[in-house]
Amino acid sequence: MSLAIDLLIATGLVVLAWQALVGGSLFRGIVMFIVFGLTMALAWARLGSPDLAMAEAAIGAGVTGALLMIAYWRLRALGANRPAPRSPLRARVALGVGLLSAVLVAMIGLAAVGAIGPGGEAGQALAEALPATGLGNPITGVLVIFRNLDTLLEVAVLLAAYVASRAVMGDDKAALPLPPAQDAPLVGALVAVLAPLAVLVAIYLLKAGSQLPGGAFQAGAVLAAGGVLLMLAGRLHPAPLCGVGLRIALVAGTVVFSGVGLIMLALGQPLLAIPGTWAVYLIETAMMISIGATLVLLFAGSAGLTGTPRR
Amino acid sequence: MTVLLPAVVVFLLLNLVAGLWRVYTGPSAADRMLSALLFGSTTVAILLLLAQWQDSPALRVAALLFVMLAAITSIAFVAMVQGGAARRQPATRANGTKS
Amino acid sequence: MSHAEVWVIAAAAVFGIGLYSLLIASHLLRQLIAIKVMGSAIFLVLVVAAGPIDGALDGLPKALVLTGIVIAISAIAFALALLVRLAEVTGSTSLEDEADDDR
Repeated sequence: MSLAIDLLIATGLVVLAWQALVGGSLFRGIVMFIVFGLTMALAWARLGSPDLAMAEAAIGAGVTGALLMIAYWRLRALGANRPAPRSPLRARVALGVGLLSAVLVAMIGLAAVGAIGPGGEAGQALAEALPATGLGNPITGVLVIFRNLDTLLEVAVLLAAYVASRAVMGDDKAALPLPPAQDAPLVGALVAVLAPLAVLVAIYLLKAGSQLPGGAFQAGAVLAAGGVLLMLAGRLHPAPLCGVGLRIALVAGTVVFSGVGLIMLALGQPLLAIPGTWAVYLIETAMMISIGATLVLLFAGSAGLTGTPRR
Repeated sequence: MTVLLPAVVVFLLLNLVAGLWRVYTGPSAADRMLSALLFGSTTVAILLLLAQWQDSPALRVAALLFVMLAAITSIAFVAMVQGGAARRQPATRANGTKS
Repeated sequence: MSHAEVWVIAAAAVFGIGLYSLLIASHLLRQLIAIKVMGSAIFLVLVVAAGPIDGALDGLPKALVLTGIVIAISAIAFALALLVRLAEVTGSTSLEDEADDDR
């Protein structure tokens, strides 16, 4: 029976990938991609990884889907040309390349499944070292303590993506267009419930992340989803300037993380040594705020945010 | 219970396939949106069943996350479909503010 | 067929579809979705190859994939900003048109 579940989800992934990518309108492709992301989340849940299920649902399907949708909407608003379809010869070559690459990935994957024993050596080392840190979630342990330089750079990459997006936008533009605000009667009631709920869920995920699945990335993505909601409902508007508070929020993750690491270096510890569970919470909180703020600004396509509309 | 729970999961997954057919055929954007929402709630049910069956309570939190995201998605869909697919507007008028 | 094999083969098929679409699609937005889907397939192989399906506790590949998901959205967000800018400046949503103009 459990094999049937695996087969159904796996087949669903393949079919959805085909429908998202080949044929049909681009809009349908984006919708199918979002459904593909949700099915990926189901696959992670089935593979015993709630952390990844949450991250995939919130970041992979939710925020990525919102970014794709808004880009699609902006391209339509710009009246950009739709490119002509490719030649049939190219499609035949592409079919061969696609098949070959699929066989290659299958061979590598199947070989890897056979080659690595359950747990693996690094996995065992992780399981042995984890109790000493006071954390219960091995993924948070890896992200914040054992491989924290990677995580610091990851937050920096997200910040760099935002700065680079602003840089290519051109000097003449304060903000990219957004769809007109939704002012249907139900939207206000829904926003009044959902926006505080998003904050609550984000803080819960952050708090739970040290022992249970969850953590700064999932929490930040939930905050971003709340921000996107406020923006679509017309409660939050793009602003031409980035306020001081927002600037602090954008760099908080990078600054607090590297700050803790440097202070420990000054105290004679190794660089980025984490002094205790309180430091994990501090760093994760700062990262959550940065991730949420950056993702909302990437969606807004503007320098800043404001509660009052720009006239 | 060890047989019943996975059987229900399989049944719900087949349900998803039926919902997908509606996303695929449409015909209107609203049909797609409604079936995508159905997809969301069925996924929540599957996650809750998996949480019980695989004995991993954290999946209930993932289900909570799905519920919240589905609600937000419905608003996003309405905004994008009304703003993008149904009516075309020049970029200057649609600047996020009510003009 | 074992559980792991099912997932690896599905991931391989998804990767192949992604690469096929990346090559035949002319709209850059579709190509971006293709790249994202290919990335998801590789994440799946990484996690499945690392351990058993039931009761897997190896946190390392999962942390790796979590990092990968965030890096992927950073790259996609920047690529979408580039795409919107490209459409603003040239009115085109494809890189192919420029090559056609040169002919």
